[in-house]
Amino acid sequence: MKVLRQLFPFSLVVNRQLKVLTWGDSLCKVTPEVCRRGTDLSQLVRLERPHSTEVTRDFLLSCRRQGQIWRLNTSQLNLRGQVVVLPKERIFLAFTPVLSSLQQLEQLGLDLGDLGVLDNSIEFLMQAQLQEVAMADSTRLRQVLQSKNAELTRQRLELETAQEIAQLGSFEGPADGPYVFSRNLYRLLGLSAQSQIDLSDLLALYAPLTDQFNLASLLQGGTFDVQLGEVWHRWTVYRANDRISGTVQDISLQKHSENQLLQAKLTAERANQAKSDFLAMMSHEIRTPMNGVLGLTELLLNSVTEPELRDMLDLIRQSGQSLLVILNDILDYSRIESGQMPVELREVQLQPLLSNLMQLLSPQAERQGVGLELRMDRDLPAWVRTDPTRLQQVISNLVGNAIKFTHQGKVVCRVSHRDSLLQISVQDTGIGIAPEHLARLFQPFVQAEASTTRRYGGTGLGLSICQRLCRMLGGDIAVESVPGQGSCFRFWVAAPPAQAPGPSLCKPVADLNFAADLRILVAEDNLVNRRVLMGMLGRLGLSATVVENGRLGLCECQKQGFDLMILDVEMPEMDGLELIRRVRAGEGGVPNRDAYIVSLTAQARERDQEGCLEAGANGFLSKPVSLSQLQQALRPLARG
Amino acid sequence: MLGMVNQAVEDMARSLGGESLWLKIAEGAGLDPEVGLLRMESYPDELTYALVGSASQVLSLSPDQVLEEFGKHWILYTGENGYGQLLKGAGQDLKTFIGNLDLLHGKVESLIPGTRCPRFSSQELGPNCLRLIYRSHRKGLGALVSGLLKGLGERFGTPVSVQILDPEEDCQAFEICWEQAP
Repeated sequence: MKVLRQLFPFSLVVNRQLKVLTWGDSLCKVTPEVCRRGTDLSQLVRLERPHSTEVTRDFLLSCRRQGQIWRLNTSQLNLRGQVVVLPKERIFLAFTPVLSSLQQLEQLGLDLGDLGVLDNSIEFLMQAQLQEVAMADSTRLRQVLQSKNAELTRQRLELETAQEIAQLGSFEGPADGPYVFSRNLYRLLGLSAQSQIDLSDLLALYAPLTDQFNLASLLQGGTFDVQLGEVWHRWTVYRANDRISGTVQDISLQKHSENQLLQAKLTAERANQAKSDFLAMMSHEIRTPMNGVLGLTELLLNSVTEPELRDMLDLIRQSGQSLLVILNDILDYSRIESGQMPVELREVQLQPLLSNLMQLLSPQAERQGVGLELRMDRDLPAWVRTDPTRLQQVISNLVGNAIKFTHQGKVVCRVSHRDSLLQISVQDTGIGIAPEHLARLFQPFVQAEASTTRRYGGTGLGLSICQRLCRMLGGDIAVESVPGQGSCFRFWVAAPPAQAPGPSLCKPVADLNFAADLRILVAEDNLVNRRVLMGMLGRLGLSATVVENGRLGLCECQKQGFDLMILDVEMPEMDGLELIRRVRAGEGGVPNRDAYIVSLTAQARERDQEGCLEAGANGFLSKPVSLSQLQQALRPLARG
Repeated sequence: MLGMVNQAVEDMARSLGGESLWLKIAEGAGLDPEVGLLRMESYPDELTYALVGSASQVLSLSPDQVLEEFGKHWILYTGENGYGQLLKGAGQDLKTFIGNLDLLHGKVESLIPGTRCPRFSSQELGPNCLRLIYRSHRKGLGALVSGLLKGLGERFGTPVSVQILDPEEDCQAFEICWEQAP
């Protein structure tokens, strides 16, 4: 009986008179009135179904095989019931509560444990509540999906618009397909958006395919520029984690622009080359007569003693030298622009270099009535590593300018060294430069003012060259100036301290002596230059066989052996380079094919010098040639 | 684990630091915060561990501290707001509730296919103390159970002390004592 009560904790057992004998604990919890033996059943419950009627023993026995619905008199709780007849005419009423909500369980003061283990009603109620939760989640999820869907649609439209503007289509998919293609890709390739296509179908449009552009190469990833009729397409493909994504873009306009740029670049390069050639040619054409002017002037100065004539000759020489400076400026600028200006770094002894330079410049300062001072820091390293030629070029230019633009006072050149940088300032007490002109001072062909050019001359290239040289040497240049008070140009170049190189075996040029019986051939087509050369050789106590072109020169070489040949490069009939090559080849039994050969040219570019050396020359002289330069070139033949 | 349990981490984050804190924790656990958690969905346990790990980093708390707060929060807020009636049906006092824990989980397991709920059994140690034996295939969630029990104490206004005993191979025991007879 106890087991039955546990299975049905809402049960009642009544006797024949329908008086309560025992009760289930849970029923007692809901209706404490029931927990008294002898209470009449009708006082506790009434029958609702199958129909409301007075409860009698006979009635109960008659509906044993059907369930009933009872209601507790003391509460609104309905009970589902089943009648079981027990021995001794007792009746077991197996009640289970009819619950419509979990809340009702709480209202009745019950919990899960109060229900019978076979009673599933609580599961139904729980399921109802869980379904409510699931429905709420489902509704929320639907809203999230709707919102995400709307966002995706917006993004897709945005992407399509962007692709249309960029004339670009895209595709994406696993490496072995299938791929998803954007609408604009179809449009770009002139395909119907309904087409069922794969990558190979798209590639077929570009047939015949190449080794570089085919399905296999595409799947490796990369960028491919290909033509479809008149249209250029750029395929950009990425491969990651065995997925392929890519874009196809119409780049016809870009290709057109690239072609135009390329053409413009080629045109500019040709123009630049033409300009360089023109400058070189002009330089050559001017240098040749200048060689005559300066060479002959120098020779005359050595033989003329009358002061008035000497002054006039000196003026001719100065004018020629000024013209040469301008020429060199133009040539340097042309070299720098074409990247052909070489930088030759070597160990340089600062003190003599600077002192000699100032000595060279001091006559100009004296003539101008301007003081020239060199102030070197005490801790200046004795030797540094830099390009001495370019360094001297910058200092000469700045000091020369300072002297030129200073009418009284002085020019001070200060030299210091810090952190492997050589810093040099050139300060003058000259006319100064207006602030508005300072900014463009280093631009080529620019002088501070147009009136400056008229009054002081010059090409306006000097400072631009200085700036570029300083930068080539790992430094830069700056200027400060006050009109009427003077200017200060300051520049710095990389010049790490260096060890002194080994002792030089060179003799000073002035000490050089040559054997008078030295056999010399001079080949030069220009009459004036022939005279200049002969005059200079005469000054060195030497004489030479002279010819007008290479062909005659070769004849002479075949007749006799020469120790030295001075050959102009540009000559009619056979030029100097050809003559060098034939002499070196021993053509026609040239007796001394190892003669010392110095080539002579008005082309002062580096590549011209290289050309001479490649042809077999031992030395090189650039016109106009000075006596000391000639001596220097002939040094290997000097005696002693 | 069921979304309805994991949801406590979300609720806890939102109550502590608003939407931004929850976004950080969700992002750290690799969960799309916009979709969030579906309460009736059975999620892989890795998600629970990831949420706890992420919350631990973001809040600078140990994982056990997070788990305990997570448990408390479930009883006091998440469960109360979503399944209050269900919880009330499990008992009106601490002792009854703990006694019905296994029954409650059994019913949930039978109602939601695919869930694997823990098993509980209890032994009375005295009028105000009992030992709760917790068995689960999930490891390392003792602190969560401890938090749930402490949350229950608060729910019923019964100050409770929970002692986590050394874990055994297949179960974890807790000694629970409360101040007054419930």
